[in-house]
Amino acid sequence: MLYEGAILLVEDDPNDIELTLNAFDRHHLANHVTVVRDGEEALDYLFRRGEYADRDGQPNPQLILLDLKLPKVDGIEVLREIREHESTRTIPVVALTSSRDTRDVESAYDLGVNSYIPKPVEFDEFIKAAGQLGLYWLILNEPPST
Amino acid sequence: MSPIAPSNERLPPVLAEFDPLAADRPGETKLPWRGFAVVAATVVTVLGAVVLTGWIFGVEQLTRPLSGTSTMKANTALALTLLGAAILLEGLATARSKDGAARRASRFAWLVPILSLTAAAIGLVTVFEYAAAVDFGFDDLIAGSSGAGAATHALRPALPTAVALILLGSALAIDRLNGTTAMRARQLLAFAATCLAYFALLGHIFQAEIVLGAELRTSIALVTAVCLLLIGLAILCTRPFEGWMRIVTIENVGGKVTRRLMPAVALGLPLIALGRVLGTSAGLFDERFGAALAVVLVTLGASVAVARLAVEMNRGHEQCDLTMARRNQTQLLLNGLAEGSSAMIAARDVHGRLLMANGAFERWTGSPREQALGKTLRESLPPELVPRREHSFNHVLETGETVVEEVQVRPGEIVPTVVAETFPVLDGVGRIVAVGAIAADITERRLHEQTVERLNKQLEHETTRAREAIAELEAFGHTVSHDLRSPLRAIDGFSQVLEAEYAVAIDQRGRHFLDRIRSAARDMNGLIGDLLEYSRVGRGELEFTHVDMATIARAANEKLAYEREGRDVRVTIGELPPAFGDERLLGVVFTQLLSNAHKYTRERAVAEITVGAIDPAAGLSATYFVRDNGVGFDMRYSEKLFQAFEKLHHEGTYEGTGVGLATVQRVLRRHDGCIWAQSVPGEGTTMYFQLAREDQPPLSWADHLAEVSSMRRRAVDSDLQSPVAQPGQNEFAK
Repeated sequence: MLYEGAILLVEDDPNDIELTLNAFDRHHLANHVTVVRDGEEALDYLFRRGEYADRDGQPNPQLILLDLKLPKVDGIEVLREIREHESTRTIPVVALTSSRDTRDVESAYDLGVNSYIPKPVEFDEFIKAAGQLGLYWLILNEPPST
Repeated sequence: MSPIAPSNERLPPVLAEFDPLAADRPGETKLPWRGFAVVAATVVTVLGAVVLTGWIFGVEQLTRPLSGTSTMKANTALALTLLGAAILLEGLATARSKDGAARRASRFAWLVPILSLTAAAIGLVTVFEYAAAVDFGFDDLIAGSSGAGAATHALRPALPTAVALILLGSALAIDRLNGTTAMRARQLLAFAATCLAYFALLGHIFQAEIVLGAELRTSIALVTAVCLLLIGLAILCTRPFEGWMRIVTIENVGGKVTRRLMPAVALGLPLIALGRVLGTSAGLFDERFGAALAVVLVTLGASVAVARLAVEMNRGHEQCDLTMARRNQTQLLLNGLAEGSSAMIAARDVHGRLLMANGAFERWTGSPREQALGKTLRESLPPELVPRREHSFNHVLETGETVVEEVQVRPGEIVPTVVAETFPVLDGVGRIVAVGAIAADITERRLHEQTVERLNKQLEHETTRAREAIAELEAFGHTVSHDLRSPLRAIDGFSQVLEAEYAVAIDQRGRHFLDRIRSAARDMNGLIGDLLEYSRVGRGELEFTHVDMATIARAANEKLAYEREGRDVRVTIGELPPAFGDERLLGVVFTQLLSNAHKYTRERAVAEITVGAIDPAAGLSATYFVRDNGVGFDMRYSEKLFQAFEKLHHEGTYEGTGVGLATVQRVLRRHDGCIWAQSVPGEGTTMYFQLAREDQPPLSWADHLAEVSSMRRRAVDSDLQSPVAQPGQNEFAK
């Protein structure tokens, strides 16, 4: 079952956030998305630190959409920490890349992203990636295509 | 097993005193002096032994080797045998070749003085018997009393024989090691004995008795005289190149004359005298005439000899003058060389004493040569130079090797700096007799080198900075292009949202503007993509592999399928030789060129695009081309073709950023290759490109230009002369 905060979007560009949320909204998924604006915040959220210290009772996200270029703590660093911690190791991570630059994609795969989507996030692409990752709850939630 | 392993061990060099006269010293004659000594001594030893045997066993015949002559006395025979044996033993012991026999003989060398002194003692006792008129019975010791016994001392050696034995015995007992004086004494004694024997021999020839007072009428037996003579000469010849014998054996005019005149005189004069005696006694002429004749002959002989001597001496002088002249010339030349050179030239003997130095030495050391000559390193050089020079000097003496080194005259300071070569000076037989040194001032060069080094460092620094600046610029370009995409995404994204969600609220005019916004955003995205590509092909390492050009050309063509939608485009990919390069970047080249070809043929009813190689057999040096029948361009602007952002067509006519061909050129430059174009407006364009060969280093610039221009000519020729088809290519064969 889906719950609030099932998808964590780590993105600093407000335009990209709004466009992504818009796309999710059109498919009635926006409620399940939690947005954090930089790497540090993402880590705080995931490890219940700082302003997220009292994020009790809330389970970890089921999917993380991670922009690789982030202020403060870089996306690559965030990914490394996610993969190092027992509690977050198994969460699927989809990298958001602003280009198809093979080097960015390669280093992300090396660190253990499960998939990647070029920006802006087209919902079709997202659903495709989710399908590849076996996240059928997302596909099931998608309303019949219009 | 190799019998002789070459030894790596170097023997230390042999040192010798520098002797400027050594070269002038004449050599020694190669006549068999020692050979004669050995033969003579052997003859005497054998003869003495035979006679001795005769006496011991009473064989009368053996005591008188020449019948009709008087006997060789037993003691004489014994003494002669001893002397002969002593000479042989000594000769063997001092033989140059140290073979087995020589080693054995040298073990018995101590016997030599004993043997010879025994012979001398026999003579001495005999003389004492004569002088004191006593008879010790010494003469009969060997022969027993079997002798005739008529005369009181019939068995006693003649007095001259005894004297000769004393002389020869003591001569032989003198060891050569006692020096030149001892050698001369030995030779003097031997010569005296030889003269005595010669005298006795002449007495026999002239049948005269040597009369030494009434009591001493005995004469030396002929055989004894010959033996004494031989022993005397043998002793002289055992040491042919020492003492006075050098006069005879030396290889110069004097030696030559002596060697010829002495035997001539010794044989000639007795012959003349004998002739006179025989002639007189035969009644051919009287005493006076005989005397006159002898004088004439002697004079004649002497004249001939003196004339010969004069000729020899003149020849010697001429030779000497010539040698001197040559030597002077060489000396003059060497002096001129040494004095004329700005390099310091000096030579020292093995003790470090200065033998010669040139003018530069004076200038360098600041002390006059005359004072420095004969002085050691320490005494003749500035103290700060002494340790280094002594080290080099000793190294040369110890190893025989040349030392080349750079010396800072004032330690720690560059100025002045010299390069010094210290080398052994060898004599004719390879001994080190002196150490030479040549030093040249290289201060200027050192200073220049320093300047060059400094400039190099500066240049290196500049290059690094330039490289850093370029890298920064590249990174900047990359980042900017990258970051530009983010707002662009927003523009496009929100336009899209507007279009999708508010289509009803916007009128047609508004939708038109929305279209324009989205189209502009797409163009900009394309431009940024191209810029990123341009930036990317200039960065990063190339991965060189063998590339199948036909495959990557086909792959590039596949990617452009969307360009052909709704059009009649005929693409022919001909035979493409494989290349050596970065596969991804070469893919960019084909993609870009094919994309252009598609773009500029858009107005053609049937677009014909051909990919091929001019010379498929050329392998890695092949020239590839992409040809279209598009709009073409004016060749006047071909220069601008490969510059970024330069487009030859109006904005809007053909979409594109102008970065594509610049990217292609960048890729080819990174492969040390090149690209050029050929076009006729309205007919089409052909783009040619070439890659560096794998088996050769990248072409030099000049070769490159020559090759490219020849390629260009060929391309132009084939293009202009046969515009329809390339020979050997089945293009258009679709």
